[in-house]
Amino acid sequence: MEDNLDDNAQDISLSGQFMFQATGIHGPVLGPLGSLVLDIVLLGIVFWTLLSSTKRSASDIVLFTCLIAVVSFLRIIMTSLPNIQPVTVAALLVGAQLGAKRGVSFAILVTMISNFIIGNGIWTLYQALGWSMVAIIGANAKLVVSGRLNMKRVFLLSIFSAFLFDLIVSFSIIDGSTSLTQFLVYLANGIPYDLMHALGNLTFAAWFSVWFTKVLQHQPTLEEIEVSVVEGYVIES
Amino acid sequence: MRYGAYFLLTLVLLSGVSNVSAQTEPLEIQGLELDWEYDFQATYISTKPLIVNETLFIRTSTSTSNTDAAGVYAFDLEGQLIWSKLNFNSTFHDMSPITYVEHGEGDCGSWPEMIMVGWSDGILEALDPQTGDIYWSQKTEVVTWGITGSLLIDSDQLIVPTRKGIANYCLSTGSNIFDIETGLSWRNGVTKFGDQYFLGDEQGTLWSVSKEGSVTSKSLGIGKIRHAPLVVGDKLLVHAQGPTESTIALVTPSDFSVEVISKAGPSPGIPTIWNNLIITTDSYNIGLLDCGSSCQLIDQHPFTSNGESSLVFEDMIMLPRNTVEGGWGLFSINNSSDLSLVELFSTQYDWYGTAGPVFHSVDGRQILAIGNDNGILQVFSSITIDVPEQDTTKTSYISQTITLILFILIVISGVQFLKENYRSSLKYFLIILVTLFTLGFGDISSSWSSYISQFNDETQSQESLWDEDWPEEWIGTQIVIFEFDNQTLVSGGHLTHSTALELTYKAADSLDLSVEEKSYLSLGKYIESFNGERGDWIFLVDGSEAIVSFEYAQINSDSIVHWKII
Repeated sequence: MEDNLDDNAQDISLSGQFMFQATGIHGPVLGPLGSLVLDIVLLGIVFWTLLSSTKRSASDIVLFTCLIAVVSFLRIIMTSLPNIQPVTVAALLVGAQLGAKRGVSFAILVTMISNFIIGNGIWTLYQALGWSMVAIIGANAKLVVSGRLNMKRVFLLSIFSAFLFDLIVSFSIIDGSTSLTQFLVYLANGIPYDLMHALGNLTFAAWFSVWFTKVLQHQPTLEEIEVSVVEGYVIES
Repeated sequence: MRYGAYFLLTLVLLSGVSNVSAQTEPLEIQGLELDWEYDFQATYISTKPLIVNETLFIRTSTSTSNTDAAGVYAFDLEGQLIWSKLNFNSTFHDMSPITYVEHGEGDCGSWPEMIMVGWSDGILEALDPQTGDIYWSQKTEVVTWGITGSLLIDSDQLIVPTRKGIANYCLSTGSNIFDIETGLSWRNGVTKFGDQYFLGDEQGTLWSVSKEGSVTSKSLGIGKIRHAPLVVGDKLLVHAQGPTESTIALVTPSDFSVEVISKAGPSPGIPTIWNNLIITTDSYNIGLLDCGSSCQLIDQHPFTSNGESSLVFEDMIMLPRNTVEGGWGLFSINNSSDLSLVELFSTQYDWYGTAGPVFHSVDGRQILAIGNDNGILQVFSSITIDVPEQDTTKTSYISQTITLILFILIVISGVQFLKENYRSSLKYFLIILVTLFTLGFGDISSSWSSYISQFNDETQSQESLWDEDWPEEWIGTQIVIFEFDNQTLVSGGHLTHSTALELTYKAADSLDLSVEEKSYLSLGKYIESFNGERGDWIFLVDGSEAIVSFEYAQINSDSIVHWKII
């Protein structure tokens, strides 16, 4: 448990806006019961978002699981780099290709799995929320038009989502003793980290977005599945 | 995919690098080769060595009783130890430079060739340079420390800055002529101007003491005076230490009127005079002042040095870099009075340091001796003496690899751009940017944080954080609090540390606490545990929770660093 506490400090920094053991203003500390409740709530959301009356093929499930595992692994091995977050662009593209629901479940699962290694805490909630927001934006931003990725839009959203995610995670430090000034100073101190996050996102987007989108294209969206099922019934009838 | 694999490989390589270090560790400087070295074990070299009559004298200091004793050593120029003298009663931080006295005769009588050593336990000794035997010794007042400043020879008398005053001794017998109380002081040398002796104290008061013992003084109000004032024309130059910055000023000896020349960085070192040029140092810059007709700052160069600096190779300035990376800055001054860094000299013993090097030329042979807080003396010589074959270069392959990869990426990006393949060029350019920003991120975030803190300074003064149980001697010094679950340990009386890391390690050392840290690329170092007690260790500097790694957290001369677990 003590080791986990120690890791928690790292996690705030590496996945959020700040990477410091001493953040200047430290957020509320989560106890074991709080962690359990948080995990249950997040898993509940994942369960709900993945609920579907349609049966998915095994290959879809395997691919989705692999995506989560690979991105979680990438996040873990990149923790020593300053706020370089492979999850952000991945969440954006998963949202764009697989839809908001699966984007959200992807974001939550990656956050939870990687935080099991990096460290769990109240920030897990905010990180999951941040990346879910990014996935939802990706799902509604029309990044893929006629099977082609709009790179300009991907670049712009990569930058925007870095700042959005960092802002959302920054709220995790707020407790009863945090003043507005302290919070603003906290945000101001995080600007280099935000910029680093944005730069990392741009790099990931430039190198991997096309390939990643192609990989995801093999997976039909929930809407596509529903449409195909409905069409199948119509043809049969 | 192939490109992706390259990218990942680059990032993984980077994640294993803690810093870009010097690419080689030369054992040669300006044509001088490493001749010999001596390990003083767990002690510091805090003051510059002295070379006289083909003998090298050096003193060591300590910061805790758990290390080897402080001592004075004499070597011949080939590295043979002639004699040594340890002081097991030292109260640490022995920083008074060794002073050589030629034989002579005066009203007090005659005296032989001697070296004078002032100790932190207040003992003043006149030693035989050949044997280390004591000619005479005296005891001065001790308030935690005794003598820490530079001594002054004035004809047949020895002027000594004691902990709380100034004392005058006859060189021949050591008999005390006067002992006058001034102010509590630290590393404050004595200067003679006219018939007056001048010295400063920790309250920022400049004292003038006549040969007869009459005293006048004035608080200059510009900070602590921790060096012997420099005589510049008809005035005295003082580089005073304030809480967050320092002030360089000229003082008129007759009425103590102050003319501020320039503000400078925190924790100033001891200024050095060279012709009409004054070299100043602090945690930010090495500065150059022209004091020809009127004193003015004419150039400065970013460099962290808080102790001594020396003139070497006849026309260069060499000084230790007082950072964890250490090394030695070698600067030159051209005809336009521009200060330029000739080289950052690095050895395998690089670490914090405040001792200036000593350069000596005898019979056409040039000798340079350096040492730092690692307690290893290195002597370089222009004559190569047979030494055991050793690996003289150690290449940092990681640095070389990163440099090579960056070079390749730049070339690829450039070629793609020229081929008008802009998207591909951008890809490689982004990797270059990420790499560069990652490597420099620690400095960037630290600088930014310092900038932000200007607008939101929530730090408190030492007075407001003071605990009545702490000894009075700690006032104005650096203090560290380690707050454990079941006890709180405090270590104070520390001086001259510029970062929370440096101070924390010194304090932990003095309390015999073990420290576990973890280093992250670009983010700096973090505490894993103190004395095996793990947890979310956070630290406050002057009552304000720090926002950077303790490696990058800058502190003042009277800062209180408070560690606790949240």
